[in-house]
Amino acid sequence: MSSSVYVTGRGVISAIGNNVAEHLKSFECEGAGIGDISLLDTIYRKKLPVAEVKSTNKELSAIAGLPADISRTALLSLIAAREALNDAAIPDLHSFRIGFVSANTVGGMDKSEDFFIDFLEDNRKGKLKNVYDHECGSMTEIVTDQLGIKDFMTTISTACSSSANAICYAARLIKNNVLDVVIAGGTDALTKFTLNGFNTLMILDKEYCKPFDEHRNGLNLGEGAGYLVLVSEKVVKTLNKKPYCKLSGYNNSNDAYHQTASSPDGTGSYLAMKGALEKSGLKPSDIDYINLHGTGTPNNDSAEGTAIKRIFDPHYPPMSSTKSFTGHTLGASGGVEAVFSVLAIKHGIIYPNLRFETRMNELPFEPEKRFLKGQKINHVLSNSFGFGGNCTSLIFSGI
Amino acid sequence: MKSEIQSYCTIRNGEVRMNGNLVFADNENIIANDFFNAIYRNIKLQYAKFFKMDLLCKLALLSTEMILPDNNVPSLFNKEEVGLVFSNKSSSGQTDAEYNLIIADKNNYFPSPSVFVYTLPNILIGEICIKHNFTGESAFFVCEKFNAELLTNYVSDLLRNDLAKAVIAGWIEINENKEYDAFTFLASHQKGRNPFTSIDLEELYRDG
Repeated sequence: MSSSVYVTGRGVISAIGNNVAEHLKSFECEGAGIGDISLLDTIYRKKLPVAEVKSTNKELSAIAGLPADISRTALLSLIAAREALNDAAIPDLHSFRIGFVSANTVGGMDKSEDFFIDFLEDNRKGKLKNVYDHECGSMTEIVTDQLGIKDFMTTISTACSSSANAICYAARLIKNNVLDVVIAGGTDALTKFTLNGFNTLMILDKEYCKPFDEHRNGLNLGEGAGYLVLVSEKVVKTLNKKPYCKLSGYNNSNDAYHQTASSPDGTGSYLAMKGALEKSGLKPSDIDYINLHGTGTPNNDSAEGTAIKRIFDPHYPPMSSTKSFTGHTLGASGGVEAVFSVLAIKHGIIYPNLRFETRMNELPFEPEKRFLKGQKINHVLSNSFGFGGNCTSLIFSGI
Repeated sequence: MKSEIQSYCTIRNGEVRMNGNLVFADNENIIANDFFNAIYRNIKLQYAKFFKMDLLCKLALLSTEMILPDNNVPSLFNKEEVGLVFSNKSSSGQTDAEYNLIIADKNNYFPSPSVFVYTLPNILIGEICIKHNFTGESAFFVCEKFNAELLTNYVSDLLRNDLAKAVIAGWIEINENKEYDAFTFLASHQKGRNPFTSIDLEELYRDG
């Protein structure tokens, strides 16, 4: 179990770009991807802002090389996973045992919604093809086939921590010598289902979200996919380039408090961050940047902030919530933000926490507001906390 | 260090089996919800929140209660050291469909938050953790069928690397026709009832 797990590829698609390069540009010019709903067919257009990937299914299918009538969840997944695999540029890829560990929470719900429109009018109508890929696992299967992976695939679904858990699991598969190369992360598309659901929980901000602000009012939903290519030392020796970093720590803990709310003192968040630090052998003062879960809901940010205070007080590293750019991409967020964490180390950047104005009353710290370049960033902590009390923290370390 | 299965339980076809023995059957109530409520009464559980849960969580909670006789896990292990690893085929599909119906019907539009909270499969892990205050690592896998190897690997890894001292794991499945199938087991390093290999696990799942 002492062997290291290296990050050698990354791919991402979200409201602020269809690939890594576009994301870096959007971050630098502080361009958020949140806006009026333009693609999702819903009664909440012009009422609730969301962060949509700015391409129709047809446009995404052209990039992905898949039919346009396939679930958007799978289209997003394939685009980001393929970017990650190409980026990894593993010379003799198919001589290794390769796996795909992909997380999501909505599966093919977008297509199921199309089915129900006709079906409810007349139960002899509705295209059955639209419900065929309803299940979360179907998304992974479609993409695994497209990537030509034959050794291993699995789907993790633990709400908003899903893809962070996919990365933990991938690391274990490598450490236990089950696989050599794992593409790990997750995907989720916006659907009426999630928009309605989060709206009934009354945690959507009708304005652009303001994570970690005293006057924060909820989250904006987003969509996207993000994947890392994790490899063993054996694979690293065959690369023509240096890996980006190592996955040095990870932990999953349960908040054991409520189905959808965080405990006031952030027990699960605290245990996850503490466990990841212990695993990496690092001290809190070694962390150079925290990519916050930072959804913008009063409950999450207060719980996460309290847990951070308990661990880091009195020396706080720079931190920010990139959900102020991408919205909350749910099952994809852990993967999307893992990519951002890796980019922070590689390019020495810290992302701004957009729209932050007022420090939270109960916290002695605040997030970074500026885009910072040329930073020395060696260790990044990334938080992903999900409904069901499922809390995960990852730590990436430069080499 | 070797880990062993301490206890296991199946809930299927209107029957509850503990360690291979039939402990409860209700031929009158084999429909999911009626049967789950009958089990609740039979084991004299006192947890009113149970009745607010969806079928998947009810099934998960009950089958976990069965393998924790006298609630003894908390006294044997630190609550931070109890891990949970579950899997199924249909994710939360049965509740998803129910929720979709209430948002799709324009004349009767009521997107209920109390239904929406159950539209994720890992909420069942959350419900077990809330009841027993377990804070250890948890994971939920969506698989085509019961995968003994996946569960054995993941659970063994948690135990071998001391990430958990005891793990509650299994298969909690409800499909859209409300057909149910639950298999849970408790594994730890202590001397147990059955050896813990994927072959043993496959047999226990199959034979109940």
